[in-house]
Amino acid sequence: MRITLAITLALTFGLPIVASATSYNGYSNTGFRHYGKRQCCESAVVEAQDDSARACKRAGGFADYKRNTSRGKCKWDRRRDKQGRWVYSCSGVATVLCR
Amino acid sequence: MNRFFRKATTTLAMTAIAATVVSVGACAPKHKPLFIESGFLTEYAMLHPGEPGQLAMVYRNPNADFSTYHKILFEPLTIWIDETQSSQMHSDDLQRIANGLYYAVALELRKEWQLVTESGPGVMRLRIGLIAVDHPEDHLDVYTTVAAEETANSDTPIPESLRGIGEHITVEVELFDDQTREVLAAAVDRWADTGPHGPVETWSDVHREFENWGRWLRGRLHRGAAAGSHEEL
Repeated sequence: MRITLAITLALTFGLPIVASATSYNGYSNTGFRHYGKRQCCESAVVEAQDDSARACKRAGGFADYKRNTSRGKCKWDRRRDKQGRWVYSCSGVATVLCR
Repeated sequence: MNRFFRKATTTLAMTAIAATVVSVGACAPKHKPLFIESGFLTEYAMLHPGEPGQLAMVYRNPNADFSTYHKILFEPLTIWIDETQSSQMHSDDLQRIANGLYYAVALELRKEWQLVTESGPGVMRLRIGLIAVDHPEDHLDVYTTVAAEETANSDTPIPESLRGIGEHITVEVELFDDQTREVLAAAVDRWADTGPHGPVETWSDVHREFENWGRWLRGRLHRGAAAGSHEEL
């Protein structure tokens, strides 16, 4: 019930969903713009960290993501472009420390 | 690479033995692929099996003149681990590995090359990935070096979840020209089959393993980059 309420409030008012007492989940989606999985996942994680940092700042906190850890999750997809090359799209989730 | 975090639990070992016996007895033997094309390297098609004493799969650009490179830009070390495995591990421990191995390798590289943080002529980039995925389609948990930090030289035992992880890790290494982005050399092998390794029970053992591996990698790069050498990693 509480979780449902929290999600409803977050979606209604655009409030960040709190991942823990001091951090916020950040999300990203690169779209199909990378020709390598490594670059794609790197971008997805970095952008998700930035999103987490923005959520932290919106909440009045200080994002300390450079001193904490560089960790994120990467889900990826790929398809062929017109030249037949694999092009990747990645979605990332990351959480940075928020003080 | 090594026997990093080698000690598997008795249960796991027994399970593995039992599974092997069953598979051998039940059907034709299946060879597990040496490694999975994870997508970490720029290109895999150019790799070919290494000679005895080399890494399992290697590539050396025949046009590369290593004598022109005096500087290395060592990119943050990356760990790719599938979510199923990483969910059983503490993220701080994986981050500690990403930071600690980077520190150990950088310490050794510094003895032969100037380590730089900015692009420029005469710079080659070194990229190292520790890959622990069972399938190329796996969703990834990604860790990268935040800061080069020496692994604590303590007698604290490593967590059970890290024991034996080295058996599941593949190391992917790539050297490329900073300016042209042309790949100069690349190699792939199992962590357990590279570098010297001993039993790993504590963080102090991890510390030692990383030191040894850094030394081993420097030796490999030194021999491969020696003027006139055609030796691959």
